[in-house]
Parts: sequence; structure tokens; C-alpha cells
Amino acid sequence: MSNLTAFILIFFRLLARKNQVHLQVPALTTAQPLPAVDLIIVTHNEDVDLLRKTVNAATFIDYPDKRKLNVVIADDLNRPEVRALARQYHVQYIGMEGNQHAKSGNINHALEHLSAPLFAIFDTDMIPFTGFLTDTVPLFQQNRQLRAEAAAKHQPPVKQLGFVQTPQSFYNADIFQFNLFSEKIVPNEQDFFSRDVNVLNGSNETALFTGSNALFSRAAVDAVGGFPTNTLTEDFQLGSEINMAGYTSLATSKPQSSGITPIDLKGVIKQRKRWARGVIRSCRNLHIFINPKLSFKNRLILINSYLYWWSFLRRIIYMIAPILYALFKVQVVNANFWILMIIWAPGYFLLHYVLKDTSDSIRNERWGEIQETFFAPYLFLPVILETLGIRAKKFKVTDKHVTFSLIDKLYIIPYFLFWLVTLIAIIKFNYGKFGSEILIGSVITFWLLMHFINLSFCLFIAMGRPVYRKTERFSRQVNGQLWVKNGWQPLTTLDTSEGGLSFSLTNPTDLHPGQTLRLRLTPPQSAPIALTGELMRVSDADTKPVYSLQVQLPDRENEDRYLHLIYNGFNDALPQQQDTWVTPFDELYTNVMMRLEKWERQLSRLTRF
Amino acid sequence: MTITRFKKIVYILAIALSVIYLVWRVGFTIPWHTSLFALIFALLLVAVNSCPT
Repeated sequence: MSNLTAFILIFFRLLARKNQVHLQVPALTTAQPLPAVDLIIVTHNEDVDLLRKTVNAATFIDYPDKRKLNVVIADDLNRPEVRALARQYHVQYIGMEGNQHAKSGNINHALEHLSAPLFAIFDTDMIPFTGFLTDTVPLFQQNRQLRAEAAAKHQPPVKQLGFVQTPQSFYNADIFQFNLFSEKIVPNEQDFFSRDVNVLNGSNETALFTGSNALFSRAAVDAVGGFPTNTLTEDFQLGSEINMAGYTSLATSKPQSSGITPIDLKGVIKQRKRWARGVIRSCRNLHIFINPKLSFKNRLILINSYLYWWSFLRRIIYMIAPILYALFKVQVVNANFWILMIIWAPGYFLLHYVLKDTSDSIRNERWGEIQETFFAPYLFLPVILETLGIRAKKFKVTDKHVTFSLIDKLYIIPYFLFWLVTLIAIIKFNYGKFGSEILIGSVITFWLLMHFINLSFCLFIAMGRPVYRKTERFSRQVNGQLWVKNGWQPLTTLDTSEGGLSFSLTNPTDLHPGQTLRLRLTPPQSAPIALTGELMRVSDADTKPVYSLQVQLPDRENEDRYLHLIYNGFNDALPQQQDTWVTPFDELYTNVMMRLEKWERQLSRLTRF
Repeated sequence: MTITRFKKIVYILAIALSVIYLVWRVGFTIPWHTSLFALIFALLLVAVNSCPT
């Protein structure tokens, strides 16, 4: 089974290379009339402050004729404060009551009131960039033109484009990046799916819909009867239904929006459980193994997504097998060491070489294993239950608020138990053995050690790490001026966040913490932003002083522009690719040291009295 | 990027060796004469394939 998923991925990677598929997004054409777009922001019970950022960003999206872009807030709780927000930003508000079908119900209800040929879906916490439409609409125009040309030349018809998915990207570090002190080294865990797997799916014109920041053809969605309401993952199912109805789907690779990813254990695990159950359920609804409407490659893609959720049970079995042998002498593989070496080793290492060769730099296998181990104890049961048709009670929307509680700490228990038992197994198995005995047992020790390392990482992830910053910091280099005495001095910002920013001056002057400063930022292609703030800190970064300011914005207009400046664009402070020079072992070392330091500090504080 | 002849051979070899391994694994390594518990676990392990990826 695990081999199978690997083969499928290799197959598609080779195919993609052979066909040289790199989706090129053309420019918007004036040869066709510009299509009208409804941009639907779906909200349920999220903070208005969070929604504001998304609505604000939506009003900044580039489109040659802004009258053709209709921003809509779909609110299924009919909240007056959301209605007020819509009025403030001059966007459409569609409220509803008594929604029985969660997100799908909300969207289907909104669609009844809308009619544009294209519509986009955004989650409350997915903040669009200005380039979202220019990166997606041209693909629909191109498709339309190709279809017209084929029809004119009496060639076989070109399939209609159903939707374009832009990648998911997140502006805060995910739980793996954050809790392992590796924000600068490992990319977001979900990037692997979004920017690697789904782009490959898209090269087959059957990209999957991932729930937000996608642009749909209204006709395609209407053709499948709207958003599906019989699953927890309406996104996955809708995308496949559209493909089965004869429409294509594409995935672009450049992020055109950015969202928040949960970093508390409970939130992360709950979200994953929902996805797991949803995908298993949707696969049943879609009859992926026998549905005659699925093309060969599309079926492979869906089976691959289905098997992915079984990899967690596999991980559990892998972890238990060597423990059984080492501790209880339960032999589950009946093999001679040397035969095993001859038959297993060459294939194993060659396959891993090939996987490494065909995979790209977003994720390597090691990290994949750690993430798999991390989710395994919590996902293997839901997957089995859902397969047997035993459903979970109602699921809530993933709460993206970071609230750390005692219950969060309890989530560490399975990792700790596994870790402890594995450690005991390693010691007991090798204790008192010599020479060839150790060699013969090395296969078992090898697996135990692998799992021990993975579990150590899981322990670190589950231990968490205190969150100090309230808002996320983004590196943004923008020019501006600082009012000093009686003139404007040029400055450049280094990074910005909702609470503050840091900048450097072209001609450093003497400023003192506590001073109130007046600034003017002049971002390109945007009106200037006026702001004031208290100087918090002056620090020397390579001899050029860096000034940190607590920001105050005079009015709503400046606030909106400032929010736009922060959130329009990928957060460069986070990596997009795996730093291959930093191995997991370096990582493990860093984590041990960081945590030892912390304990040492605590200990010395205790012993001081 | 086109695939070199060498790589093509390596890929095919990787898949072929894995298949040989799987056949051997299924055919010759299952401990049939053991306790029921161990047998069930052994079969599960074969099912998920003892070669991780």
C-alpha cells in the first residue's frame, strides 16, 4: 500500500516532467469582454477583526474594471456587526438563518442571490492578494478562446474549465515550524500538498479544490447541483464532482492569498480529524474505485488521496512491530537476516533514492515521517471508524484562536508512551548482546531508532513553545519619511505588523525610546499612509540603527492602507523550501539545546533562594 | 528536463526490486504457525507493506 502511493506520485512526477507542464498564466486579454466576478467571503462565527482584513484586502484586488468585481460577505449567522462591516466597505452582504449544511449551505444560499459567470470562494481567514484575479481569470479567457477556435475549425471540442485553485499559503508559522524552532528552515507542512501534489494534479487538469481561494465557473458548479452537503469536506468532493461532470480544473503555483494556520495541538488535530473523516466519506460518496465517470489518471489521484489517510494506521503498525519483537519476542516476520538483506535492502534504498530524486525541495521524506508519526495516534481510529460508516458527532469550524489549555498538555500522552516503550525496547533488545548478535538484530534496532527519533520530535512538538507575539510580523521594505525637527527624513521599513513596525534611516539621527514620532509611508501603487507612534527600541543591526515603533493610525482610511501593506503578499519571513543543509539531526540538537537552556534558567531561578 | 537513460533504468529497477521484495514478503515470510495474535499482526504488517515510504 505504501509502495503504491509512492509509485503513483512517481508516475505523476515523471509524467509532469515528460510533458514539461508548467502552467503559464497569460495576461488578461482585451479581445474578450471582461467577465464579471463575485468574490464570496464565507463567514460563520469568526471575529469581525479577522473578517475585516479579508474584506479590506478584497477591495484592493486588481481588476481592470472594478465595477465587474462584486465582493460579497456570506454570513450564516445574520450578525448585525458583520452587516455593519459590509456597509463600511461598500460590499454586498448576504445573511441567512437556520443554516443546516455548514459552509456548503452558506455558499449555496449566497449563490441563489448571485449571477456572475465566475465566482471566487474565500474563507474568513484567507486574505487575498491584489493579484488574485490577474492570476486566475486569464485562464478562463484562454479556455474560452481555445474552445471557440476548436469549434470554428471543427476540431474535437476542448473541455470547459471548471475552476482554478491557487495554493494555500499561511502567514504564521505552522505547529511544526513554530514548536520546533524551525520557522526559518522548514516550509509549512501543507505546502507539500498545495504546491507540489496539487500542481501535479492540475497538470492532469484535475486539480483538487482545497476549500478557499479558488475561482469557479458558475456553470460548472450549477452543473453538479451546487456545493455538496453530505460530507465534512465539501471542497474535495465538489472538485471531483466538477471533474466528473466533464470540466477541467487547474492549480497555479504562486500564492495569491494568505491565511492563518492553527498552532495549538487541539486545533491542529481536530482540523486533521475533520479532513480525514471528510475525505474518506467523500471517497465513498464518489465511489472512487468503481465510478465509470472517472478517467484513469483522475481515479489514481483520488485513490492516492484516499490511501494517504491510511498511512497513519500504517505508521502505528510500523511502530508497534519492532517493539513486539524486541520486548515480547513476538516474531511477525519470518525471515533470515541475510536473505532479508539481499532481497529487501537493494530495493528499499533504490526506491528511496528514486523518491528523493523525483521529489522537490518542499518536503523530504524525513519530515514527512515525523509529520505522519505526529498525526498517527489521533487519526488512525477516525479513519477506520469512518470507513466502517461510524460517523462523528457534529464538527465545528476549526477555531483559529490560539488558546492553550491544560487539555492541550494531555495530548502529549500517546507520544510519551510510545517514546518510552520504544526507548525501553532499544535498551532491552541490545543489552548484553555482542558481535554478530547485534548485527543480526540491527534491522530491529534500525527501525526502533528511526521511530525513536520521530517520536522525540513529536514530544517536542507537543511540548509546545510559548507564544510571545500577538500579531504576525512580515518583512516589508517600503520607503517613507520621518518628521525630524522641521523636515522629512527618508526611511525604509524592515518589517511590519499590526502592532508595530521597524525601520532604518538613510541618515541616522539621534532618537530616544519613549519619543513620539510621525511617519509617512509611500508604498508603490498605493496612496501614502500617515501614522504616528512611540519609539520602543533602537537597536544596531550591522552598525545601522534599527528603530522599532509602536504604531498608531489616525483614521480608518490609513488603517485600511496599512493593513493592506502588511497582508498583501507572501510572508517572506517564512521559507518556501526546505533548507537541505539543515538535517533533522541538527534540528533535534537545536531543540534539545533550546529546551535544556530553558530548564537550566528555571532551575537556577529555583536554586537562587 | 528529460529523463536520462540511466535514470529510466534506475526507476524501472527500483520498481522491479520492490515487486520482487513484495512477492518474497508475501510468499515466504508470514509466520503461519504462530499465535493468532501474532498472525493477525503479521498479516496487517504485510498488508501495509513492511517497506515504508
